[in-house]
Amino acid sequence: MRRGPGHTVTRARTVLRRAAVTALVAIAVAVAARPLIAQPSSQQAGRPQPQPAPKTATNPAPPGATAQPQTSGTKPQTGGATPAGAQPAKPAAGSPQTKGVQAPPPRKPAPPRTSKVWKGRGFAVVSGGAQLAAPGYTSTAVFKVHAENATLTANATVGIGPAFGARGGMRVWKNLAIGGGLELTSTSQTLDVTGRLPHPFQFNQFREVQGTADGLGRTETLAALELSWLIALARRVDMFVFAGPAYISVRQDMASRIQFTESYPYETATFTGIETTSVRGGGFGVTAGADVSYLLTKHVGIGGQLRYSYASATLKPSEQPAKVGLGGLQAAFGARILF
Amino acid sequence: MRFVRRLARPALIVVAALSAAILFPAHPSAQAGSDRRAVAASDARDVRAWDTQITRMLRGGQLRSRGEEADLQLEGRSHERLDQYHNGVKVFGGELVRQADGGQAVSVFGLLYTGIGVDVEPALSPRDAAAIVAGMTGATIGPELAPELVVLPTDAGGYVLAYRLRVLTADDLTVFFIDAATGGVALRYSDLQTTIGTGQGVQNDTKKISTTVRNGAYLAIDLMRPPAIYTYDLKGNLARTQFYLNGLVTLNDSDVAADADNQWTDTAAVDAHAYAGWTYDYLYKRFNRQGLDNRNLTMTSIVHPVKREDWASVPSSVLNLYYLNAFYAGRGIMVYGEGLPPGVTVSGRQWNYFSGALDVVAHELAHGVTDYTSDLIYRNESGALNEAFSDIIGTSVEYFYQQAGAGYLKADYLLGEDLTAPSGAFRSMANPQAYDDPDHYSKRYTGTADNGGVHSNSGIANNAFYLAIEGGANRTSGLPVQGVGAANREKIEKVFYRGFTQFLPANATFSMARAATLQAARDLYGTGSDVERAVEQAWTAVGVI
Repeated sequence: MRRGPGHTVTRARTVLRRAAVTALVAIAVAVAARPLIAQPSSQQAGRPQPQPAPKTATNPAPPGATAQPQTSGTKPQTGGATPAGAQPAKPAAGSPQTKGVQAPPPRKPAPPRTSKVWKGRGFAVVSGGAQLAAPGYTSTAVFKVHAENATLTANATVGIGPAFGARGGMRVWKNLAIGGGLELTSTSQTLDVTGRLPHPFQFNQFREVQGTADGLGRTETLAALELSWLIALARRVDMFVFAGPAYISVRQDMASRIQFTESYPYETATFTGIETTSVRGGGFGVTAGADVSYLLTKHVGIGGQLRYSYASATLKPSEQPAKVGLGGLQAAFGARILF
Repeated sequence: MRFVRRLARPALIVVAALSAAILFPAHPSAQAGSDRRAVAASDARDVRAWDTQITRMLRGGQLRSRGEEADLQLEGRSHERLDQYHNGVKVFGGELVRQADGGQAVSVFGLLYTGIGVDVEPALSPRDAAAIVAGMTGATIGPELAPELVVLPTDAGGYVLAYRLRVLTADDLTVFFIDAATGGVALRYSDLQTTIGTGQGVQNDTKKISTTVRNGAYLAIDLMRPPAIYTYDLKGNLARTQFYLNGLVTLNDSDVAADADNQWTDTAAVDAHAYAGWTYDYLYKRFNRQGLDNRNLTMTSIVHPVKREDWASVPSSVLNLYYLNAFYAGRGIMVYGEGLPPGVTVSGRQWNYFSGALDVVAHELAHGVTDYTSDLIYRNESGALNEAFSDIIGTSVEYFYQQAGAGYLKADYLLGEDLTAPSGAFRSMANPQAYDDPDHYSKRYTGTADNGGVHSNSGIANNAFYLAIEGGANRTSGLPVQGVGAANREKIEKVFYRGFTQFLPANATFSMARAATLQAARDLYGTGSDVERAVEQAWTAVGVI
């Protein structure tokens, strides 16, 4: 197949369509999986948040609460923040912190604090961005020219391209969540091609040709099982670090034949392009990354993500298989939902 | 959150289906290209989708059925070809083929072009386009050959409105696409399907030959070199051979050596065809000469002019000419002897097809070169020089393509050593006396046989050529020659080529050949050069002063 400009539009449409689906996947997986996880009370839902201030001195900590929220390096607050307009909490009877001490004066409500312990039930992330770097590969192809085997060697460089994805997970223990992610990337490849073309009239007389072909498409789909650990960085800023096994499927164009011109006496040939074949495959590998979120509301925020993935697949554009590295470094930004 | 929860179940279902679609795309039939879409639908879902799409495109005029044909191999099946159209103009190469079984589509294959935006109003008329092609080719284009307006997808990825016209010229069948707006040639290509086949030569060596596909058969017609090179197989029809050589009949495609699969087994045809091309290449690469007449004269080889099995019943004249000889018949035509059946010996040797020796083929073609240059009269000294020049070219071509050595398919100073078993030769340039030919002017044949000894006295010039390259002493005179060395044989080849083709008159003598080659040596390599010295010493050694 020849390469050309219309190809990009079609590919972009495909990627957008898949991105939408991917987002749905993540959300649905996260939501549908909820009953499988021990459900905390509705008050615990949401992002890792400051422990609500007890209304009374006898108000026990909510069931399931394991620790007081606090920001690293901040002074521990025994009473927690008081919501705006609320009365100052009375110290609990017998409370060691308040025994014999007068209640503190009314003060301005403290802003929500970050927490070392995540009490939410899950999260969903939808992102769009770019694949910044990807492993290249070398492929060879053998094809008949003038009743003799010609060879093609292509060194491929994978360019930057759009990436869309979604991740989701359910908290299973402390700040650990288990979930999955889907990522779609669409990139184009540039090939540095070297060919050995047989002479039409004599055996074992080869002409060397070299050239470059670009615009070859490549679409990758990553599906990963991920363990995520939440780290609260600041008052509204959290970070998930995640890693897990991944399967990356790829569909890409690969060089299968050299197009060339030649004329008598055929001592040389001129590279004019390549013929490609669309090849599919996939392989298991790993993925890891970090996702930083800034919460705009209790449940919704925005954030950015860096992900590195790697897998390899053996693709066969012709009789000669080529080991192709998949994945790469992605940066993406988008919406976050915590619940 | 409630909203999200409500969506969860249906979303999960959708997601399950769609994620499978993402991970395992199930529509390889629709392969997006830059500007074309390859279709290869064979599973039921794809076929149904394309069947619907075809119906839609037929209604919209983007496809037109070219017709439906019954399947001759599978009963009940049929095949329909659908051409792609853009605003009523056919898109060249855009086509779908739908296979049906009892009216139900079974497969759809083809290729459609997308993103076409050309204006379909031509500035040129079909007659204008035909006139342009006629002007370029010199062909007379009749009214039946109306150019067809098409949308032509270009290699660069765009589209051009063009007139398509296929024209037969003297030696090619060319398809022209004339830009309907500018009158320029948007594309042209030969519709004669030239290809490279392989075949076994007389010595069981595998070589490539340039062939042409016509009517499903591979023909020994080489259109990859500037001159067309034909090899005819006259299938032992001596009368037809003679009629052709005398201009009474013309040969046609049915006379051309043919093969069904391009893996040729007719060793005589393979060698004649390949070696004719090799000789052309040698002349071009070594001397920048364009064929026999330097104007790319068509080269014609004839093999199997007689039947081998008839050898015992034919007159001796036929035996000597069409069995045990090869000859240049003028007008670029070579005839190669059939040899003798295996086991039959003449002079103690078995004789194979005469096209099986590269030096013999090149020798005959060199006669063609002589014909169009000095035209050395084929008798007495000029005739001997004529023969010597052919031997020189024959041997030089061997050295150009083959490794130096002894035996079959090796380059040496013997002539015709590849034809016989056990390996023998007709002549030797290194030692002409070994074949009873003179190696010195004083020993020249002065009788009238063989046109005054043209095949014998050639030994004198042959030996001069050999000594100028290899050096050594002439066996008769004993005079030493300091040759230029095998690594510099190209210099001596050029000197003899230049001298013989550029300077000699038709009735040249040996003495003139000496002067001509010395002049050529001085022209090419300077006065006092080692080449001039070698040539001078060589002629002196063979007694030509």
